[in-house]
Amino acid sequence: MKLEVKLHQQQQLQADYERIEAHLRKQTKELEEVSAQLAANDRMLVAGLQECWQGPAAEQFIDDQRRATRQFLQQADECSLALEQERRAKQQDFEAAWEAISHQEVD
Amino acid sequence: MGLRWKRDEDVEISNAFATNIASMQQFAQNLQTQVQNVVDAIEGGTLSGKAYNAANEVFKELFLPLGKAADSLTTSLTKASTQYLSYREKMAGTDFLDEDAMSSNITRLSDLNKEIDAIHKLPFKETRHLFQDKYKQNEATLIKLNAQLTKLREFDQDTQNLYSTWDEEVTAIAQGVNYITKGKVNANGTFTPALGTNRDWLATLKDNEIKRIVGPLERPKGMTAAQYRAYKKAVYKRAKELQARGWTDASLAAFGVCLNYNPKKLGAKQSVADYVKDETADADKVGSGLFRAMWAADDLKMYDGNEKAAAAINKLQVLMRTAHMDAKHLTPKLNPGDEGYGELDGSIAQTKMLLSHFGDISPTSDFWNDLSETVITALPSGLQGAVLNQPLAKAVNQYRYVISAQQMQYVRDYGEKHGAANDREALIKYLRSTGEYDLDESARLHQKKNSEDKPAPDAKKGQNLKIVQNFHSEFILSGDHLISEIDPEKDSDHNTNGVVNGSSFNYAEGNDYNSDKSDEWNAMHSDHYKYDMEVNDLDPIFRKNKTKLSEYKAPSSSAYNSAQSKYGEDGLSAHEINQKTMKKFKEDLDSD
Repeated sequence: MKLEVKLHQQQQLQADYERIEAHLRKQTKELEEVSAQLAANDRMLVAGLQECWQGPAAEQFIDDQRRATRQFLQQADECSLALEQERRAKQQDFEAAWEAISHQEVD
Repeated sequence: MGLRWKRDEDVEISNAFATNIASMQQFAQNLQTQVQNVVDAIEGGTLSGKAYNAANEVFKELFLPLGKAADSLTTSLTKASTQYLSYREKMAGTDFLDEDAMSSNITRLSDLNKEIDAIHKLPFKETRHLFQDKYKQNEATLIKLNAQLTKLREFDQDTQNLYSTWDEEVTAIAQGVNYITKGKVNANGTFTPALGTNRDWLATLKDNEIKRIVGPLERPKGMTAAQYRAYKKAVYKRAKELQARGWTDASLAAFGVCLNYNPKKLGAKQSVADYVKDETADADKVGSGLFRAMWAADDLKMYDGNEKAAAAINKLQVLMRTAHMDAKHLTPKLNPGDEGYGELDGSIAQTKMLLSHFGDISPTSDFWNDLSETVITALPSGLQGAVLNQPLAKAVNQYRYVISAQQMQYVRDYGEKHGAANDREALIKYLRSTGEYDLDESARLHQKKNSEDKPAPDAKKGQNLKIVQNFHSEFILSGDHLISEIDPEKDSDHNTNGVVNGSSFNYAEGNDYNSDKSDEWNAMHSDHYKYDMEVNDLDPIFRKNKTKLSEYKAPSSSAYNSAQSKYGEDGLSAHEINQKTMKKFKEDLDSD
């Protein structure tokens, strides 16, 4: 393999990896921000409802609403974890590919 | 400020119902004691002669309205209390709900969800499902919150009129009971009130009575609170007029129900007075939707025995007043002793006036069956046989000709809308459209000739055709013209064929005159005879003059069927001529 080709492959690999990693990090960040915002809104809604609607039916509804918020946050965590796992997998793939190219002998 | 519901206040309302009902019961008891004193005085002979009469007046003027109002209010309160409890079920599980705050929360959540909708449409597949789920969950939340608002608004709508006027009425009844129990019935039968009491309560009760009868009125769209108050006042005033006309409580309640059914929006430049005038105008039109609803609400099935005939008589009186057949509107008056009603004169002007008091009602309407049943219930001995109710029977008889003229005009109007060149074409087009007609009824009585053996002007021998719908509605076709006893297009002087041979509405359910029910059957016992044929004494004078003075006579059954009689022609009996003419009419009716 010519040195220029090897270097080009490594540069390409590096660039691809960085692009994917940036995308996944951005996704993760946005997920964290938006889910935190939604959870905050949910809590505001519950607080708002508690002021304008009272009684057993309201309590039941608010309990359900809180449960739904918790569930959403849990799903957001799981989603965030999945993104992190995907990022690590991509990193390992990158490292393996880098390794493989590194071992290629140059002419 | 929006609506607010508090269970604590609901308990207060429920308690107020119970308190008011208990008050009414106490008032009724107090009143009963005083009533008993008067009754004892009357029955015990303490009051007699003028004193008796005076006491009776006091009784009718003060005690009866108060007792009636207390009874009615107790019934209404009890009913409203039950209704309130049932409406309250809608708010089960809720102790407090604020419409404005709930609306704000809904708006906020709805706006937020629009943002989520935008996020989950972004091409990030890793998080898309999460936001999609959140969006759907919020949509479900919005539906549930909106359902709470709907419940609150429906509950408010259901209950807003349930307890609006009672405080005033309870107070008036309390004042009335106070007035009566503290006052004194004197030895001469007059009543002396206690110092410091007055009769203002009586006027309040009268105003409230009509409100209760008509029921709560919904607020038409486009009305401000002040306009709504004016609307209620005007409608209740109108209801009082209808009550004075004789409409019963059941009919007036139907009047209220009709007004509440999809009320029209108040026009931008329309006054409340004009709105009420327009929306209630049909109460003055016989056969209009509103009139029929009010008529049907006073169902004769609700009455037993003698009450049923009395109720039927009342309905006919209301009908005659609405139709302007009463002496207040119709001249000339009937004979002395018949002051309550007017007399048909056969003039175009009078006929047009009478027809202007009909709504849009077709000759096949069920109303005509119901009217006929009412006539038979009210006057079981027939029209001429109704000795005790002769003036009413006379008006009811003459109204047959008015109904028939309206039905004739209905067909003419139908023909005009559908391009008919004359009455005959109009009738054919109209009958085709309904598909309901009978061409086989005998037309014998519509082939009269005078003493000089001449048919009435415009009539040809045997050729006046008779077509009926449900037997009640009748059309007589002479050549190309429909003829009736009275005609909005002809004065009686130019309507001889119509006056002697024309159509008239039949009150009998069917032609039972020639019934073969049994060998002993007497045709004079038939309804057709009692209500539609034996009416000469009750006929308008102009008709009597035409038929009697000129001696117009219908053929007997045998003369009708004889080719040799003066009613036949060219070797055919009048009946055969009639059948031949009818055959041609039927061919035209069947051909399209």
